[in-house]
Amino acid sequence: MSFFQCRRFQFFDLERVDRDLSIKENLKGYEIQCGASGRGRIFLGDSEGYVHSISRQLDALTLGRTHPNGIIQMQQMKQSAILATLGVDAPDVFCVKFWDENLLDIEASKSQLLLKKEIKLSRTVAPTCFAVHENLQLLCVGFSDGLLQLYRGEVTRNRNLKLRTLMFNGDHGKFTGLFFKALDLSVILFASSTQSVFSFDVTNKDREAKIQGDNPGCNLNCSCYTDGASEDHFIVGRSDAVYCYTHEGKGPCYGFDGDKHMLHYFRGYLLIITNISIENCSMTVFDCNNKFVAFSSNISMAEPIRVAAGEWGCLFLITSDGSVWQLKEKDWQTKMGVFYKKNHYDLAIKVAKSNNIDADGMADIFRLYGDHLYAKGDLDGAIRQYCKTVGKLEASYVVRQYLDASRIMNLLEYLEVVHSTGYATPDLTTLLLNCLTKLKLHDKIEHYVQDPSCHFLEPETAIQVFRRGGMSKQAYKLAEKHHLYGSALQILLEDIKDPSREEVYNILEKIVLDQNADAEAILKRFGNSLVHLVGQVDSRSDGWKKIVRLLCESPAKRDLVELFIGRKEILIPLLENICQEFQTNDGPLMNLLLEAYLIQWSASNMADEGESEGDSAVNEKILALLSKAPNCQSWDWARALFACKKAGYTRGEIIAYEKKGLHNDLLAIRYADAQKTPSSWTCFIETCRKYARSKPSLWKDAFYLITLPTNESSQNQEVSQCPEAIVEEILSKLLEENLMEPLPIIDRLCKTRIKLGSVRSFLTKVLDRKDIEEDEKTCKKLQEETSAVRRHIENIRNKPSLFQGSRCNACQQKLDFPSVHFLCLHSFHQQCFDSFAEDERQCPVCWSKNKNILGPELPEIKLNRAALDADFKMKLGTAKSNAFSVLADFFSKGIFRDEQVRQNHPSGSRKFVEKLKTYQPQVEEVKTEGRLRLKEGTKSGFSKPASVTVTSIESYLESVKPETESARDFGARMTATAPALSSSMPFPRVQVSGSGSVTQPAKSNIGSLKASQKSNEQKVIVESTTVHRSIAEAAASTTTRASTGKNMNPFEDEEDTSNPFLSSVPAQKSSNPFEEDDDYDSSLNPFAE
Amino acid sequence: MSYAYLFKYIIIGDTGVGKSCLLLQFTDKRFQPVHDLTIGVEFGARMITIDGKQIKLQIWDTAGQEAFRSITRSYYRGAAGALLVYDITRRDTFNHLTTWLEDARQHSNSNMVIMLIGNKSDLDARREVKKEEGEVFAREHGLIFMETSAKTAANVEEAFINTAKEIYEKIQEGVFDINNEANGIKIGPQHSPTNPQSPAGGPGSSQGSGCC
Repeated sequence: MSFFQCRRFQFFDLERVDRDLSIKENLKGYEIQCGASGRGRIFLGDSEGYVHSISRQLDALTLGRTHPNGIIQMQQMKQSAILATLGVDAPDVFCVKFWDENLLDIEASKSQLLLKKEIKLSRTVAPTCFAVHENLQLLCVGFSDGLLQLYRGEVTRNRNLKLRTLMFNGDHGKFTGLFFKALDLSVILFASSTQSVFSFDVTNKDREAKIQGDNPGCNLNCSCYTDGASEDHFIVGRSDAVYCYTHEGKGPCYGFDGDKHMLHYFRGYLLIITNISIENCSMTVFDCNNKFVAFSSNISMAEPIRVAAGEWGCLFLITSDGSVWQLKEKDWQTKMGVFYKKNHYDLAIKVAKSNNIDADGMADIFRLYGDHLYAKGDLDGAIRQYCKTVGKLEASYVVRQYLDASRIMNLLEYLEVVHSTGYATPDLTTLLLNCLTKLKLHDKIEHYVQDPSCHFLEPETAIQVFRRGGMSKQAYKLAEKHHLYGSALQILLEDIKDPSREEVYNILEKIVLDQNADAEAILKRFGNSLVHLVGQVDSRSDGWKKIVRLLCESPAKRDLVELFIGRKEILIPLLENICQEFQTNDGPLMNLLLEAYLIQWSASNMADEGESEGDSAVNEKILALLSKAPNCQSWDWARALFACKKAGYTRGEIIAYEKKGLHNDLLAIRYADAQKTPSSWTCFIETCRKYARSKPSLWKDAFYLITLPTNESSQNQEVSQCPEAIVEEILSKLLEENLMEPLPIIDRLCKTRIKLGSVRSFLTKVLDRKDIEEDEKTCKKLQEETSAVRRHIENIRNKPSLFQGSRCNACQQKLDFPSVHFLCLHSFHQQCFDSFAEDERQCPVCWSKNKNILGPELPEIKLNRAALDADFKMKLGTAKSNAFSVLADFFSKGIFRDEQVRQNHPSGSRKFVEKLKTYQPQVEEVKTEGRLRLKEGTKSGFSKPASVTVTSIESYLESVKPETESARDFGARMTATAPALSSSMPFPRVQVSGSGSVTQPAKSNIGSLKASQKSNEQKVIVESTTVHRSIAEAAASTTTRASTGKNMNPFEDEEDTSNPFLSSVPAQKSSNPFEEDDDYDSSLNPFAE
Repeated sequence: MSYAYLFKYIIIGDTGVGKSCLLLQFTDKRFQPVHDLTIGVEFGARMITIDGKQIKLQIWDTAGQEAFRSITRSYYRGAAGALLVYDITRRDTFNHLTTWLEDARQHSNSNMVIMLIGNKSDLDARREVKKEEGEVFAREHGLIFMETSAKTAANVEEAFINTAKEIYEKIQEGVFDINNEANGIKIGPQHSPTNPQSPAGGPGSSQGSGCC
């Protein structure tokens, strides 16, 4: 009845093997007594002592007679090709024989077992069973009278054998089974008799001992040994059950009742054959590992089964008459199919495990089991199975099922397993966390968040989920745990309303210190929020300092600067840090720092008027920065200057000007400074001395500065006047270096409050100079020449001219009629003139000379103005020393002239006359001014101002030439200083234009006017007069006059307009090359507006 | 694995009270809700530590059904301890305790430590046998009592270990003859004070095994 309690399956097919005929023939009617198998062959022994073998092809072969009177038992050695037989050689003579199998395969047809050795038993009592240990050192024989003998020695050689009797006759009956068991250190002999079961320790010679004994025993063939199974058992089949013994004692037992006929163990299965009746027996195959019946059947057999041999994956059963039955195991899929069909998933799993199925196969079974349980409604059980499929089965398969059923707890269980095994995907993580939040399992969440062993594969996802779920703190902790400081910072700044500063600092610290973190990107990303946060913090707190320090440690600090503009409390330390170890391209940053300092400086200045401590500290910092910053290539002085100027930081300005080489601006500052504090005058003059060495014109600037007329507003204040010594020095320098002509100096000095006393020495020096006399001489000479020319003209006009030339000036032949005579007293043959002259109104001889003077109007220049411009630029660029002469040269060529005027001569000039009239009021003004100045001039004792003026032009030109500055720069300087000075300048045009300086002083002194006029006129019309070249050029540069003088008779002009040179005053407005100069680089002077 | 002592246990009780589950929980630390009926006797082993000594527990888990009673009886003799299990949700299993106890007392050696176990304590809602009743029964029969749950593993370890402790104490007191393996106690290979072969061997031992 106990059979019904085991689950049973039919995993074997029992069939009779048809090719058994040959065995039967070979048997010749004798009975099979025993058998042995292993090593790919089944041996059978019959009652006549013949041994038969069955090969894999189920071919039977008789191998010869081993024991003449029958074989009792045989054993196949597993580790060596030896077959051991126990048989009857003669009545009452029993032998154990060892046969060599090695030769069996060579000649299959004639195969014979080769006898190796035989041991003749000493007793005449019939033995029932025997066992040979695999090491071939032990042989045990059990006898029918209950005696047990043990041979020790080399049994296969029958040498030195020691015989020992383990058991003497007793009531335990005949022995039915003997098995050796080799343990690590000992050898156990299991023995079963009909009444008892024993085990002996036979490890040591002469110390064999019985370990245990149990009742009752079993029949022949009803004991076996489970070799190779996980736990070795000696199995004994009794009528009530099958008992297992281990070397430690009794083991489990299986409740199969019935009269046992045979037990055989094979590949984890136990075959139990039970006699039901004489002809019928029941056959059961029991799976010892998984505890189920794999096969059971009742069969009727005419002859009893004598041999069971497991070979070639099958179990062969051979009856005494030689019939062969085969138990064939079904294939794996079939077995599993049966399990599934019967819903024995647990068994399927067990069997699969014991069969070492791979993980994929297992997962499949688990999934099927899970599906089955799910279908049954056992969701808890199902999920447990699904959990085992993690990693093999697509997670969505499970998730979907449990989403449908909304069994969130189960889902959670599954997801947790998924996560703990590391197969989580972002989606699953999201799902898990959503489950946790939904179920409000805060402990679990905390566990996931805090436990360092719980690592999310993609923590970013988890963080996102937490954030979306409003669990910022958890998200934050998670981010921190996974070292995602960027995310952590983001959470702090964006999610947590009022984050603790400490936390922010910590995170920042980590970001900055963590090598892996992309600090730059993170800080850039959150910089703004950070700044916002920072804005709420008291800048004197420790945390504040910490944050600053952290930022300073950041590798990306340069990029961070822009974030903190407007937050000087953080910007300044940051920049300071950067500037400590600046790189070449940090110039802008240092500029920035300077500006920040200046803001600070002006703020503190505003706060307390006096010089506070903080102020001076800032001061020092600025100065230090200014001294250091220029090492940096990209440092921008202009910017620094602008900043200083804006902040009113004079010291900075001074340094900037010095560095930038704007010495005159520096001077201006010094001057302004000196005006406030008298002690600074020394500074002022020092500056002059220092830089004037390389740039003497600085003295001139200084002069202009000290002679600046005090304006209305400053008049009210107490202004310190320039000390006399300084004035003297400047004036003397001016004179020494020939920087200025004395006349404009004096002119300027007249306008200031400078006392005469301080100018005295200067005046005397000027008056002592000899060049006045030279000038006078020149003047005189020129006057004479002019009057000579005048006379000549007069003569030509009013007196008859006598043409006495007798030779043609062209061919030098004697003059013939017809002839052409010019007033210049050149005469030509008509023929010569026609061929020689280019213009019939011009004397060909004089024409070449006149051409030089009238150059600007030449047609080829008119043609190619663009080329001229280019030429001008080129020459100006190359001309360093004589820039002004180049300028003047081109001026004379009319490059600066208005195109229209030049093209329409007559109308242009007429227009010009009209223009003159409109300018009349200004002219009048200048006139009066000139008169006033004339008075002053006479007062000062100038007898010949005109000559002074002429030389002043010369000297001015001379002074310009050595200037290292290019002509362009010169122009720039002019325009730059002009507006600043013009308002209070007594004669601004002197500065602006060379020609102006000629005319105005001329106007101012009527006495010298005519002389001046004459000298200029000469240059226009008279070729023969030699005039100083520079004067000629300067005069020629007066475009307007050149144009008027060309077409009209200059001497008529004189009558028309009282002073032809008045025209030059307005005219130069349009012709002044400097006023319209586009090339001026405003960057040179940042304050030029 | 080496051990100081080997104790043999037997678990007895009516069918379905959870004997196999107790064993499984103790040896494998898992619970199998659906368990096949035990056919005959199953077997489990686990090492525990008592008093700093390694002790191997060999546990025979017997079939509760009446049909196997004769088989299980043969296992009493070699056991040093017995867990007598009943189901607190089934009164009849409690009522049968006397029969089991008699059986055990009759077939085992007198020193066997018996622990009474009321299993399935997790199913408190379906309880039929009060804990007090179990305690009273245990006191009357000189047993140790404990309620366990093989499902939640509550008290399972304790049940086995307390029994082992009791046996160990008895060994210390000299109540058990540790050299007689019929008592279900075996001394580990390296701990044996005398040669294990000495008590056995010779015709005397075969005589001894023959009797009883």
